[in-house]
Amino acid sequence: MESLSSKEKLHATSMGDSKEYLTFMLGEEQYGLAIIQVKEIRGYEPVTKIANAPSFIKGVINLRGDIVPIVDLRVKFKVSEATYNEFTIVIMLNVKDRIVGIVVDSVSDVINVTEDEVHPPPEFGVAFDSRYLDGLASVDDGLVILVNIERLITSEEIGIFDSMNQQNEGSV
Amino acid sequence: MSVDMNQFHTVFFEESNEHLQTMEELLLNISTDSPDPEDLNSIFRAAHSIKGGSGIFGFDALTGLTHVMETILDKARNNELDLTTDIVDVLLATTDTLGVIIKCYQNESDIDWQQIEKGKADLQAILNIDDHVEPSSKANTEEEDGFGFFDDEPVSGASAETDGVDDGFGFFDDAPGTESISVATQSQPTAESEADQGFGFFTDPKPVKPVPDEEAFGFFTDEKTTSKVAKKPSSVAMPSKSAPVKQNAGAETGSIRVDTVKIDNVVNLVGEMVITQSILSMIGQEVEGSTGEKLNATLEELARNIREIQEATMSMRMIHVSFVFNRFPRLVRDLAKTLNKKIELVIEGGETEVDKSMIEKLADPLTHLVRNSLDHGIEPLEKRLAAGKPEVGTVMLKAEQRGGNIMISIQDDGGGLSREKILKKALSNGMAVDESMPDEAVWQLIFAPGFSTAEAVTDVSGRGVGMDVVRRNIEAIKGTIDIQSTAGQGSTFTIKLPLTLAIIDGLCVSVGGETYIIPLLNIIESLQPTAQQIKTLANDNVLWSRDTYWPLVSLHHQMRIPGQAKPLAESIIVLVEIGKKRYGIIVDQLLGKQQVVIKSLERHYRKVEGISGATILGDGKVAMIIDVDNLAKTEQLSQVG
Repeated sequence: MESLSSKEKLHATSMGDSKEYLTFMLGEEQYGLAIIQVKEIRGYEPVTKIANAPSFIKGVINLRGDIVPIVDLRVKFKVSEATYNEFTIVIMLNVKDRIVGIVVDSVSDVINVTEDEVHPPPEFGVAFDSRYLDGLASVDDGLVILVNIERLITSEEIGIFDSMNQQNEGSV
Repeated sequence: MSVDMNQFHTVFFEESNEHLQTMEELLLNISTDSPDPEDLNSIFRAAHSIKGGSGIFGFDALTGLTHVMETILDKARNNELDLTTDIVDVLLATTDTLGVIIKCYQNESDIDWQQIEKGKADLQAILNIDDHVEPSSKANTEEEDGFGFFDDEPVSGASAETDGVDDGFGFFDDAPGTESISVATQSQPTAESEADQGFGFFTDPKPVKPVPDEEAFGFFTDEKTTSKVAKKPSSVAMPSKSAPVKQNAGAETGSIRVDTVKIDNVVNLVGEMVITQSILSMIGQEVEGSTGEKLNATLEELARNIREIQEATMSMRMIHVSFVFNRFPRLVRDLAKTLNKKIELVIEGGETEVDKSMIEKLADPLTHLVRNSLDHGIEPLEKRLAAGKPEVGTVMLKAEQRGGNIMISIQDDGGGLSREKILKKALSNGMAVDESMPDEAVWQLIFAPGFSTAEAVTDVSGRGVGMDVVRRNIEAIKGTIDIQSTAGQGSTFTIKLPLTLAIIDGLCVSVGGETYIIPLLNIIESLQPTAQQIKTLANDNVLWSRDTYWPLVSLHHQMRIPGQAKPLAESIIVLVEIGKKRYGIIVDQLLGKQQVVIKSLERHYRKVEGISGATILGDGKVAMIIDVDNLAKTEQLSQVG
């Protein structure tokens, strides 16, 4: 936990200048995540299922030799009908040296948000718990909810990263 | 031998620098008001590891400083000492000093003993302040005095060997070799006399002042000039010394050091090549006519080449376990002397090959275990004689390959673990224990952090850091550790490690439309059961084959595949064996034998029970590799003898 909190501090100070966000749709809402963490965007392809995984972890795929898990945020946050076809969008993210794919409804745009444009996140009316949010930003066609995707993906709720923390401790 | 020592040194330096980095990071982040006990433990472990390693190699400057540091940290984590920013500052300064000392040892430049004494004095000051508050101050200072005394001995005792060791340094570093060796040999006596002086001052509150120290200091702050200045006189003075050095340097050019990252890269690429090649072969089948024949002949050639490359790459990663074993004779000899015990070390199976990345991570836990065996395992002389045992205790270090595993055991013929002591200690540590626990469970208690039944904290062991680090280190390389102990007869610690070969032969099976790989190594046979072979025992099906009953495990069920499993009569049963476990895996269909590249599932996801990894099939899809050892719980299989 120690390293996480220092990361957060770092995060807070870097909010001063403007940041680029990739916006995507999840249900009715428009969300944004820091584009720096996006590795690539690709279409959904059949996954290999993992035993005993929660339903929102669809399975793993082969990403050029890496075995990468796919998390369906639509299922996780019960926001929309989860259908899978070639138009289903997967955003590949780089999170703490790992690659994780997330399934969303659609990808819309890349926006530039400066610090003064960020408003505190709402306490309700959003699929995510407010601790995973950086804030709200207004753009031409409405509001964008800025997600701290790293904190979300590494959270216990998603459960992908728990064993890694143990491993790190083990190697100390 | 000296060359070997040097390889260990390099590893030690690398490890120590990592430990220092960890300490620094943790210290920088620690909150003085309510320090996280886990962080304190980690810092403590790091300091302890450096101390342990430096003790083996006779890097006394490190041992001395880390010992005092450890004492402070130990108090801090036991809440006997309140951390203040000042203390953290001093600790940070100490890590810097340690870094400098490590660099000195690494570059064979001379040690600034004055700086070390100052560092120790600073640390000691913290303990002293604390001692005013603590009623137990007497005991503490005594311990520290004792330590100073204690540490003196190895310095002088080791001096006979130091030459040999330092020679080693010389020819290992290619170019500056001769330079640095001359520095080392020349300055060694000075360093030792300084050391002795330094220890002499240790109990003396007055600051260190001597002129020779001062000189040496000025001399050695600038490493480059030092070696140049020192080089001339000594190479004249010791022509006999430098001659063998050069010879050895020539012999050493037969091998080169390669960053393991580069080898790993090659291994990964070869893995990709194997996959591409199998896809190519599939396509090759589709080409017809004379072109197809030519193509297929060439592809076959390619396949053979790739297989050879694969074997060659794998062998690059494998090294003899003696690489790590060879450091122990020295350790045992020195330690036995310190402990005043007669101990013989027997090494078996040093030629067993283990993946290099594992060897490096084995060094620390093995060191802990061997030290423990010597210190706590083998009884003092009088006790041994009273028990009618031979005067000389035996510690056996053994490695062997058993199936897909490497077993490394440390066996001693000492007193064995004391059930009562462990239980008592566990109770006083507030752990949940009861008298009726089976022995195996009691032994496992010693792996808890901070657990030590040793009465006295010595330079060797007794602080109770060892065992939890040992287990963590071994688990980090996917190994397990087991203890067998018989009171009065000794104990055996067995480490079981997987053979991390990146490529295995596997049997592809299909269940409910999904493909799984079962390692061929574990498979005894696959069969289609006849109705007579299937028996029902306590609602579970078992299979009669090879004159015995085999418990059956449904892959369909274990992998939580939706839908109904095929009826047993239409399924295929794969009989597997691992260790003492033997059972049958029920699958729908066999797809064929294939070489597969093991890909880590944990790299981007996490460990999945019953799965040891994943692989990429010829069509680019991912398939899971079955972990035969953990697919079914032991109790599920135990109903059949």
